[in-house]
Amino acid sequence: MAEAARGLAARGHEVDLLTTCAKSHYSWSNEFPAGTFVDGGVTVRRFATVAARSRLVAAQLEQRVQRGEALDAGEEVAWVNGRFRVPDLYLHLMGRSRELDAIVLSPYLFWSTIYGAQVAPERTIVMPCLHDEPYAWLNIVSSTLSDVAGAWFLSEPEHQLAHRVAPGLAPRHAVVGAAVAVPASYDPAGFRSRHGLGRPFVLYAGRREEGKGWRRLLASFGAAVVAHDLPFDLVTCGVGSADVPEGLADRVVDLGYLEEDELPHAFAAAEALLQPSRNESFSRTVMEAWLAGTPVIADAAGEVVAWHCERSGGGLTYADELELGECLAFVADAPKAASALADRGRQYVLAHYTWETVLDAMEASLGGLVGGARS
Amino acid sequence: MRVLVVGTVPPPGGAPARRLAAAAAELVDAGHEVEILSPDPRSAAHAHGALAGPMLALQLARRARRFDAAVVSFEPGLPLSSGADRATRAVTLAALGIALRGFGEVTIRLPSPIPIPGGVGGRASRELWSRTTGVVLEHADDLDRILEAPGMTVERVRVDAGGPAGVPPGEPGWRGLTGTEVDLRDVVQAAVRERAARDRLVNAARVELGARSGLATPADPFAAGPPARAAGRPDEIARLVLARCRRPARRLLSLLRGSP
Repeated sequence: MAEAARGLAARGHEVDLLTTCAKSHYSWSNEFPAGTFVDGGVTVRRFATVAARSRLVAAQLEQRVQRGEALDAGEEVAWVNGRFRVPDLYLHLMGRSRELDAIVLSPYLFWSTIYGAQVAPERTIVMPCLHDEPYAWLNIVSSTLSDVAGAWFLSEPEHQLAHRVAPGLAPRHAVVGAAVAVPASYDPAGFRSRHGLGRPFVLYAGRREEGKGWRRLLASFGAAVVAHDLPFDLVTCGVGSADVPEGLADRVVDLGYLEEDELPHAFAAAEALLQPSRNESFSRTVMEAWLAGTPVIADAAGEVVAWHCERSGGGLTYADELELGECLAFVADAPKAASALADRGRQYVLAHYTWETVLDAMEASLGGLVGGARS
Repeated sequence: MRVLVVGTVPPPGGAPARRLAAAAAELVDAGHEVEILSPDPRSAAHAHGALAGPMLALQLARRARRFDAAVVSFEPGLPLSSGADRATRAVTLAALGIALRGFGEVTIRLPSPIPIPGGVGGRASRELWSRTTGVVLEHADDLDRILEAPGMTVERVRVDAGGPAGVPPGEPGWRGLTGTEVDLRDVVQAAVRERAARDRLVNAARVELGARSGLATPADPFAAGPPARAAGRPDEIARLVLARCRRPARRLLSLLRGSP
């Protein structure tokens, strides 16, 4: 969102970015100071979060949502309020809404979006980043996506899911995609040298947590290594504890959190990117790997990534550890063909997901909403 | 029929290993009793042993009375390494021919290129190729070469490429792909699915074989942990020794506890 805001600002739009003082999406505690500053032509305003009064009630509601139980309207509101609230942001929107041609809110499951969408729904676009998960099926989400003026989706599967979640989906919706910056160059040899990686490796870049399929990937990778006598290590980077089992300790390398400017080199150095997450609304890492000329191997149950792999012709999907093993054996045995796959992925990213393409789609949608974008 | 299968089955991987496991699985499905003898200690075989050179003949001769048929998969080092000289080849193939006399049916499986250095054998190999009831080639291009073998006839030879869909038959696995295929992703994806389906069958057969023979055959290879890269380290050896000692130690302890 911040990059899109900067991109729109660079095209001459006046853009304010409203956000919280939180750094962690687990704790939502205020770590940044509240206030206003300018970044890349965008006025950024940070507002303090307020924690829920009763964490016990919030936790009980969360468990019920996760179990797929239906909540009544009051309970759904309590669930939304149970994570964090940003009343100052809401008040700011209320006060300034008449000055704004459009309000873009993202993602769908937070207080800021659910409440923010009620300030000026006729000028609001929600960019939900929707996954097929229990939260998505709450009535409050359906009504939010139906009552606003428009919605932006990152992929066609997300668009289709939105129609199922919200039968009365806002009519002005569009698949705008998301953009990935194209690095000027890559330094795979330097990356290997800086991190002491002497053997060929496949990469997982992302949060190491259950929801992202990390533990499932570890088990499948272990089985594949045994079955195919593979030459690859598994290198991982990102937040969260990697918790590598003892039996895999000599085949998994945890680099921890990598700075943004180091990541492209990691993608370029890898033999393949593994994407085990089934809950992706876009998957930026997949695009970055393709840009770096690296093939992608993804869990077939991840609808969006599977759609990218099929549409681009640049990635393979696996339904279980046996298929993952065969995908990795392909990369090991036929590097030239694997590289040709990645090249198709790169062409796909350049055709659909550059900033120019995505900002054009956003401007077209905004133009339809306000009767012509200001420039 | 009791069938002795000699060669490497997964793990470790590799197309020939998977094909041999699939062939063994087919024999089990057909109702035969199958036992696998492998030179690779990692292989999910019933028995492991040294099978290089004349050792293969010795191992076969020892087992001949217990089996009706033998399936022998030639591999690099089984029984001949690429550096084997003419005399070694002659002795090894002659001994093999004699050892195989003890089996009613003999099938020789040959990957491509055929791993017999310097030709498939001269007069010394006549007994072997005459004794063989069937030869399974991985690639049709090797047909001419095998027909040069003394005593070999074309009706006993068949080709089992077993490659993935879309890959030219006989190409060693994925290497047949050039990367210029228009539908490259579809071809590879279909092959991944097909190969994995075959892996599933092989795994199921391996479990079945293990259950019948009473040998432990882990269904989940991850349960045993992946092989360490630096084999033979002291800590690795100590771990293996401890693992081997655990069961007898427990038995001894339970005996001691049960005694008055």
